[in-house]
Amino acid sequence: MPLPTPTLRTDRLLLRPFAESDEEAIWALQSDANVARYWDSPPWRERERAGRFLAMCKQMEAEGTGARLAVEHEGRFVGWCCLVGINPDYRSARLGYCFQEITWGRGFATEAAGALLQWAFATLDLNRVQSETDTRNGASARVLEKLGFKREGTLREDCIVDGVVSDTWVYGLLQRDRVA
Amino acid sequence: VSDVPVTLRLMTDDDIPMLHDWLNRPHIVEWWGGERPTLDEVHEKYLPRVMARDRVVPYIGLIGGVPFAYAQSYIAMGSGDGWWEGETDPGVRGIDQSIADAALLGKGHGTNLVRALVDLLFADPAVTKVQTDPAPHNARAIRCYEKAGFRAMGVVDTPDGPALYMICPRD
Repeated sequence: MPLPTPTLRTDRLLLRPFAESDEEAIWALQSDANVARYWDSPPWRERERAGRFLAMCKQMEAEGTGARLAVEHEGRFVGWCCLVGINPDYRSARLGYCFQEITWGRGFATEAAGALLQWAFATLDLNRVQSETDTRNGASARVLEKLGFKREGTLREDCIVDGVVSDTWVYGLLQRDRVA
Repeated sequence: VSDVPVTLRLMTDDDIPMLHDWLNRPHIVEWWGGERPTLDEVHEKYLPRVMARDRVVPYIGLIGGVPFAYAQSYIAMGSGDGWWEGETDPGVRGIDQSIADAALLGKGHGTNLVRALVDLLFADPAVTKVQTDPAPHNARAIRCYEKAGFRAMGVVDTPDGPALYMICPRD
């Protein structure tokens, strides 16, 4: 069943569905080697990746498997966050986010993901949201902890990206963790 | 138009008792279904996850952080149950709202609430226009929508009876 991607406003940010006009911005972000430093795949090197990303947003929405939201601050694209792998039987999904380096350290990821989670738990009747981060990415781990996620384990040597082996932390947030 | 800022947040499960109280207030019953719903009925009909199945998003309007109004948006095309059957544009959103605090009626807060919701909906680049459908004799609502930038297009038949079809185009 299709899942319309929501439009959400926070104190500082606007979260909205991606559009064709975001192609340049998403390319600039995902091809940035510093932004992709702890990503589970290399930075984009082919321009057509941006078009495929936008097509995938539409496909997720049509199939109801996820929602990717572009994040704007003062009218400018600063990054995105997503809820993917929505499983209505397990009542679970996975959270992800990515922001331009110049916007790091301002709490944007926490603010955006917090709004997305609030929508998701209310609208999708979720029980569990999972998120993973490279164990070297302390800033991302802090985002998850501020959102109430608990670190549940380490996936040893989970990723090999351009020859670099890395471990992954698994974080989980249950509906009852939020109420507590 | 009031210069008191109105903000919106998503409605949550925790708002249901408040909404139940609101939907039983005489000035809301007058224009919103005409019935006094029980708490169980509000729970069955207005939980965000229940509304999501019909692609309706519920919101709470706030003044100074204090809830004062209920609002909802929906995707017009494919609404079902006889609603908006001729709509073929997937970019059309519809809105409805009601001020819960009777003391705040007639002060321009409704106009600001509608503007805030329309702004939020147009933040999605895929949204082409916003529609609404007050009862043709609900002069207060019609005036509010006009001040917020809506134009009356004519009276249409809906499953709830005749309604004044009004639209707000993207600038």
